[in-house]
Amino acid sequence: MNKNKVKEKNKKIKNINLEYIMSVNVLKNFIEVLSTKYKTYAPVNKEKRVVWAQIKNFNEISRDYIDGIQTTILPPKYFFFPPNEKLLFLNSNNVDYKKNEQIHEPFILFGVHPCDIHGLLLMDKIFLENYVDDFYKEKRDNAIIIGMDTMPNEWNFSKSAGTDIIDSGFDIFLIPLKENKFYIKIATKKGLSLIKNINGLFPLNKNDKKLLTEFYTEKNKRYKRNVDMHDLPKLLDRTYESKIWDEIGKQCVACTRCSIVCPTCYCFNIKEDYYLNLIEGERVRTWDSCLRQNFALVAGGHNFRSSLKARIRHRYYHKERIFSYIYGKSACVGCGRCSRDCKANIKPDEVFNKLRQLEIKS
Amino acid sequence: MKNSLYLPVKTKILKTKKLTELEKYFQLDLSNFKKFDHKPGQFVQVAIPGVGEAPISIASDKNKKNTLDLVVRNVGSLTNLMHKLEDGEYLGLRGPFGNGFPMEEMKNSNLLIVAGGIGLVPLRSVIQFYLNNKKNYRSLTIFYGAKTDKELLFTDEYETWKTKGINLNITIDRESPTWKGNVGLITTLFNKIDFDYLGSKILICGPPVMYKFVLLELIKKAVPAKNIYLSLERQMKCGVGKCAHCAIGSYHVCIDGPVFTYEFLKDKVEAL
Amino acid sequence: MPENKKVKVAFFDFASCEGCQLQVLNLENEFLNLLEHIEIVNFREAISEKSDDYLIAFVEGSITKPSDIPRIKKIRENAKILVALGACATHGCVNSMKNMFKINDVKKATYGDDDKLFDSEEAKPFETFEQAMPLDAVVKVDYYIRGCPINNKEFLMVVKALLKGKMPEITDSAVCLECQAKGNICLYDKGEICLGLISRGGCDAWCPSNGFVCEGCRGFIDKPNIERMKEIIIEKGLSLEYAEKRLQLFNSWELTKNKITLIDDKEKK
Repeated sequence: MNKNKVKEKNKKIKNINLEYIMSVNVLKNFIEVLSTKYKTYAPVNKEKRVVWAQIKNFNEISRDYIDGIQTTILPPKYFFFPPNEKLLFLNSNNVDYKKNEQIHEPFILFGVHPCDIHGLLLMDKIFLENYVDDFYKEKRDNAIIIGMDTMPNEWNFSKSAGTDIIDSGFDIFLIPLKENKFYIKIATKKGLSLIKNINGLFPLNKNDKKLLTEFYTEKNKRYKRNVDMHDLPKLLDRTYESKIWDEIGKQCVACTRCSIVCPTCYCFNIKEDYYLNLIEGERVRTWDSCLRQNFALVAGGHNFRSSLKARIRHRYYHKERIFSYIYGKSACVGCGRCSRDCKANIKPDEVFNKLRQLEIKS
Repeated sequence: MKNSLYLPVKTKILKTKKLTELEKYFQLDLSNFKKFDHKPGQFVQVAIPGVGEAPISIASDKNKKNTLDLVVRNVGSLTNLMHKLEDGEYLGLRGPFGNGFPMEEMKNSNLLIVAGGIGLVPLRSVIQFYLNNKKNYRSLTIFYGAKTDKELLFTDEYETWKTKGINLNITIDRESPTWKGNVGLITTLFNKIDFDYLGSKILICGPPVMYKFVLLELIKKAVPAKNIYLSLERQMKCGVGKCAHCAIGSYHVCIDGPVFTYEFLKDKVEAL
Repeated sequence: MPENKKVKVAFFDFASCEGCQLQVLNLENEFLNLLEHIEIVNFREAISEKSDDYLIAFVEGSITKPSDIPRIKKIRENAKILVALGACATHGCVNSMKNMFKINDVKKATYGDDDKLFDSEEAKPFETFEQAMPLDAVVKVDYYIRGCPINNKEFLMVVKALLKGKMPEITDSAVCLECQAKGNICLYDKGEICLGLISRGGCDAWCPSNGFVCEGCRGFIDKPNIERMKEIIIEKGLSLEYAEKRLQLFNSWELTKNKITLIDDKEKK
């Protein structure tokens, strides 16, 4: 797509901004209709946690998720950049590679949080800018994003990260309100086509607007974690030699869990393997993590980050600075997944606060 | 979308030559590429199906025959198998990648190349570029260090380089009965050779340990950091700024580098 | 490697349950397909022929007695490539649990009063070392196929790579990487002690994916942060004694060699 076309497309997207109110029953119907037409994935309960799964009706969606008690274990990157992906088929006799052509059909991601939509937009920058990653793009082009705002869970600090509000990156956006109502915003043509045959959408009245304001007031109140994230890249530059990194280095066990659950961690590894005929084979990419011991090892044997301290510090520096310097945005969207799933109790908001306090003290 | 960012192009090996015990030269035929517009200091991802890919420096400048030179040290799985490939065989190729040396920016300057070991490989593309565009540059001086004289690369080109006005200075780490030239680490050349260090552009490539000591010499001579260009080596899986294996702080060596000025790198963490 | 000639491969075992070789046989059809590329010249569990002419040796088991030493050295001499097959061979596995005790206590615990028989002339051939050792304590090992038992798909990957002259790529990441990427619910969420945090993966998180805690059968990741592991267990209110026993199951060789313990003597009292 050339630049003009992109601009044109963006313009069209911006042109649509329809807001309605619907009852939860209308939403239930809507989802049942959608899920017969498209594969629809939404957060559902699995034991005591929440995971993405295909749904057929509204009742399958996790109440915990809608209520903002907890988010999904894995972020939505999973759908566009899967943990294991066969990229190419190969033939070693002919010295030949062929692309693994995947079959794509439109699918719906239902209930994506504003901070996770921010995460996807950042992943887009990595995978779609400069060089276009075709595997990511093909899946991304087929996704219909239905965003949904919820109360923040106890680990979430998206307000501090500035990712609690989103105005693009979705086709439809929902907000659960009191009185069993949902606010619905249609942002794209795709979104518009989805609601075409839905009855029961009403313009916002005064009371609805009041409910919407109440939602945001309540949401803002519910944030338990606040961190000053302004100027983070510069703060990190100034505290590079800080003892705090020694402490965090001792605290980390290199389990790599934080990278896996992070909505904006995109490191990957590529491996090739033969089939049993030893002629053909395939090239696969898998999720990787910069916390892995030999992640930065080069052929001559030099490891640029052999200590745990250097690796975990790199993770923070890479995340906070790469986007800040290149794209003007920190890559931490404050979703809180790594805070929740880090067994060693390393929480980014606490790390940022510590670094900030250290600076104030000195 | 049949094409893919990760799809290597089948590329014929026209010529090979064993340069040293560890290094082998490959001349590749680029005619399977629709476009292959490379600059000195860039690299390619070389693939052997089933084994995988590795980033390899380009060792030549553009030429009319539409060929590309690589020199590969046998240090890993892929390079070991590359060494077994002969004339007429094929490998997979993606690229060119990376920024390369900013030859435009260096116009009308004296150039000093400082190369250690196989660090001379990417810099040979600069040497060829210089010879093809001599009128744009004031001079080219080379400091080249190797462990032994047996490890020296491109030995049959030295005479041509010299006759075309390149000031070539070689040193080897340890004395050898077959060597009559300089002995000592590459840093010793800086005191031996009188040169306009302050008014030159300096291009460096070598093993990680070499950078520190060469930079110390240049700092001693008060060479401005913006005149020092270094080519870095990192683990790379994609070559196109996605896999993040080569990330230094905010930058991907594969797309923002591999060539950086010292001015840029000096406050970057874990760069050198 | 010449394409038309089959590569000669041998299997050997030392102190082990031979389950890893069984895992190889469990490949069934895939194993038969492999025979188009390799010729097996030694495999006690599958064939009766024996030969010293082989390129690749897969060796299962730990080194536990004096007579093992010349035997493994001979195998090393014969083989161009020696691959340690399974946890006993790569890092001692359950054999090395005895390393934590005095050898006489071990004999006593195992044989009761019959332990005296070890002193007799007839028992000389059965003399055992105080320590059970992985292969690389005695000879150079080229590649490690970890796990108790091995993942036979990984075995296949290694064989295919070696046949093509490629270095097998064996992962160095923690079990958590693969486990979390599957979206599994962490077993710590259920109050269990899982060693996946500091244990080497490559197993596709077999156990945790099926609801069983990781016991570290592939050994530790490089430079495991045991200090912190201990704190995590305390912070979560879990039992250090139990965690220590879990660690000892497969990793006593490394624990005793590097004097690693979760409970120091002070705490024991």
